[in-house]
Amino acid sequence: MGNAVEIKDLTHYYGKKLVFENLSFNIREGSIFGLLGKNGTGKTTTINILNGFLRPKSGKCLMFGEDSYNLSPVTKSRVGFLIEGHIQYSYMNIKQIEKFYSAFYPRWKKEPYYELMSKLAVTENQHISKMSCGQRSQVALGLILAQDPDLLILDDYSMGLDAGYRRLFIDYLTEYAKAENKTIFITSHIIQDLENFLDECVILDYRSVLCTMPIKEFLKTFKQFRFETSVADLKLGKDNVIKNSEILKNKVAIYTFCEKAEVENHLNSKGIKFTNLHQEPMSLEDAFIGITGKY
Amino acid sequence: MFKSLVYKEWLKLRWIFVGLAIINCLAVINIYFDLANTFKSFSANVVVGQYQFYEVVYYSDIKYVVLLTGLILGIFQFFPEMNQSRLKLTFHLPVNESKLMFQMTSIIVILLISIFLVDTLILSIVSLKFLPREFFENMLTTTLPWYIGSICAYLWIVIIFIEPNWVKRIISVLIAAGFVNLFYSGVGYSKYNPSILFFVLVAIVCGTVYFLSAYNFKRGIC
Amino acid sequence: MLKQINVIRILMMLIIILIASIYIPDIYWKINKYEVKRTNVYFSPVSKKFILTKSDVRGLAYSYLNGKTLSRDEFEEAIPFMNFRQLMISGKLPDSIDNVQLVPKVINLNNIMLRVTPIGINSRPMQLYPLIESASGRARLEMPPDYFRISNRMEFVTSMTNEVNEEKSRLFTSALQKEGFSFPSKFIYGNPTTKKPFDEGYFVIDSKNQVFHIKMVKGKPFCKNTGIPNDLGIVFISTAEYELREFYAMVVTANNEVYFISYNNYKLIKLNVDNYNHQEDVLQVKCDLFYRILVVNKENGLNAVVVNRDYNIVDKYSETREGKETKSAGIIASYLFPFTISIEKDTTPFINFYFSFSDARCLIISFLLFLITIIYFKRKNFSVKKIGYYSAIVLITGIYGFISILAVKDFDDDPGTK
Repeated sequence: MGNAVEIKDLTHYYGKKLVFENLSFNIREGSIFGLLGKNGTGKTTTINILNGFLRPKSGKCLMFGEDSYNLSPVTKSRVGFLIEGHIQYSYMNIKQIEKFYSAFYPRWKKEPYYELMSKLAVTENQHISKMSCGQRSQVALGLILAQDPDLLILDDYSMGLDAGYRRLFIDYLTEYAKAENKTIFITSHIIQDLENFLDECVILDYRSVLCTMPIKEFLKTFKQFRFETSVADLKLGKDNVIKNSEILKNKVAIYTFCEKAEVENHLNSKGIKFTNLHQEPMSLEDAFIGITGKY
Repeated sequence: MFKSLVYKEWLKLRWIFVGLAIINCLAVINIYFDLANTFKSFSANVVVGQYQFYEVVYYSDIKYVVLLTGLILGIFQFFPEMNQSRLKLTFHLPVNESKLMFQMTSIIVILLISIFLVDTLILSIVSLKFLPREFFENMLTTTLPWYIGSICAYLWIVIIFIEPNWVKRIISVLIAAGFVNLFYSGVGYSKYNPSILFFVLVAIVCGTVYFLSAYNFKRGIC
Repeated sequence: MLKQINVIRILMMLIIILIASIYIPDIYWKINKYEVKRTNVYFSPVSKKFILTKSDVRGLAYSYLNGKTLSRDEFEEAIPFMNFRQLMISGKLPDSIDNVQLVPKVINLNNIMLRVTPIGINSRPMQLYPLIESASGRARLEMPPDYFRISNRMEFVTSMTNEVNEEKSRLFTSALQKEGFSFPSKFIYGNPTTKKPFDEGYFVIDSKNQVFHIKMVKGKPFCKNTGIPNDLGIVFISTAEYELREFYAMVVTANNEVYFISYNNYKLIKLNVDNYNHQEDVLQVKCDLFYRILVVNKENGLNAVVVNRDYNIVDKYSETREGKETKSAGIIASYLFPFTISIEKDTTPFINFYFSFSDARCLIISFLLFLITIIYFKRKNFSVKKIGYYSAIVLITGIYGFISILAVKDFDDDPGTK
């Protein structure tokens, strides 16, 4: 199985401001990949580069082996793209929009689309502009499923959706991914629904890449340790052991990829007195906040 | 796939197209009544004499109706596309982007030409009914640069709307104003006769430039 | 899309250069409009000398060629034919000059002013004209109910019905055919107005360049082949009906000769105009009892020739004045603008792309901008080929090309292929 997407040393600036530098990752065919990060860390920039709507300052970006800036129509037909905000042609109704898209994709299957539409409380003639955020997202999802693409790219699928719709998306996508060789690439800053969904992830921070690894490995290796300290006004900076820290009065939480012993040594070497050092379990969301920070 | 694109643009623009076609028809019918009333108020040979001697352009009302038609159709076509970058949706379709742009603009150019043909047809009937055929012949050559200018105005709207960079957009607005103004100069009949082919050539060149805006759109803001 | 995008960039640059070369000089000259001074030439039958009037926004100044000024009264007495009414009121009109008695009616009869402009010569009005009844027996001329055209026959279209009057058309067509008219007509020249003392119809050039005189006399066609040589290369016939009945019209030819068509069987009287270019100069012919003053007005001066009633030259005068090129705004313009395009020109009513070029001075600025362009593209590591043609554009088009490069910007190709 090859790579659906290959990104190597991708660097981009907005004017003089660096967005990210030397971003590299591959998305294997058949996997579910998450590009995670807080708002403004470059997720949509990466998506734009991937879909050929932005030319990066330097670096390579390939989709199914083709330069993403010059995708051939054949490759484009294999890619389903959900734009941030579930953008669609708002002047069409659900029947018209399905009719429009069906002519472009040879593998178009209208049944999954209409099945999803039947669950929506909308009339056939209702314009998309007159739908709620959640209804629009379902239309966008239905269209992508009907296209039957090999690679699904969903940029911030959760934007504006409440929990019910978010869960619906994940359910449908999980079902879709069960078919052979379907690759899904999701960007999001809302992590709670993705824990059992993603295979691998890249986590972006402002101007840097925080980690690139399978989810299982991330959850196994990234740990939260808590302790109490008597040091008043303790300040812990980020270093190669401590990725992040939170200090509330005398209770400290640190986030690290290291083992407990290494942490103990590190705190001792810094002369920090601690008691009750123990590891706390984390969900994916906790780990995400831990690695990116609360601010 | 082109049929689907026509379907999409038609869904988007059908009401504005009908509205503009009606406005054009009303404008031309208004010219009919103005001319008919002139012939009722003054003796026919005086009217013909005045029109010949002073080169009265009795259809000058449609000059700006025609220009606005092109502008409005362009705005209604591309404002929804550029709103929240919906052009990305269109560019993501499995068709070469240049081909897409060409097809989208061709559809509108055809719509515009069809409106202008109706304008010309009604004006021809009006001219031939009331006036000797020289007026009809001059009407054709006098109105032609206005129609071409309207199509150019539409093309500039495409260029301006798609261009992502705001400085270049403003520069394009200035150039567009200067460019389109070239097609609406001259006083009297058929003043573009010696140069109409050059103006057509210049219009064709103008009809390629939106590819540059589309290219800039794809390159993104850097 | 890549290869073609460079071509399209250049097309956009060409459009910007076109628009810049039209509007930038236009705005420049609007800001730097120079004062218009006019000179009129008169010839005094009293002193046999030229008198000039120079007018600008401040008013009129009268002077002899040697610079001596005249007051308005002195001017009026020196030019009695033009000012005879005023002199009659002030009692200063002489009884005679050179043994010719001055009768006011006769003076008035001989005062004629003719003017031919390039824009008139270059106009192409609709070839549809009213054939006025020239001998109706009525005090005033009346417009006919129809208009004629001369295509493969002479057709009269009745205005009210917009239909062809077959009978009248046949009548006139056969009259023309009898005279040897070769259809269709190339051009019809005449005066389609009733505000004239009488009507002499039209002078029509047929497809073999013969000149015919056509009018309507008591409802019947009057059609005569004037016999004017058909190789004159006539570009314009300026007709006018004057009670003097010395000439029907003034003819201008392609090689800038000017003639009157006289009432003496259409014989041509040559007018000795000096240095006349009918495409650029305004020709004035001022006729009075003694003289014809032929004035050729140019943008940078004038030439005047005075002939007597036998059309022999009496005196000549010419002057030059500085045009806008020599003023400081003009000098700056010649450095800044390598060329100017205008879609209108004051010597023709037609819209076209009219070019005017500066001289070698503009190369100084063009070369400077050329160097700046080379440095700019070299800094961005462009290929020699690209630097070559972008800077060549700047060298040829100067400031316009430079502006187009600034406007288009972002010339980069795909990464790594510069």
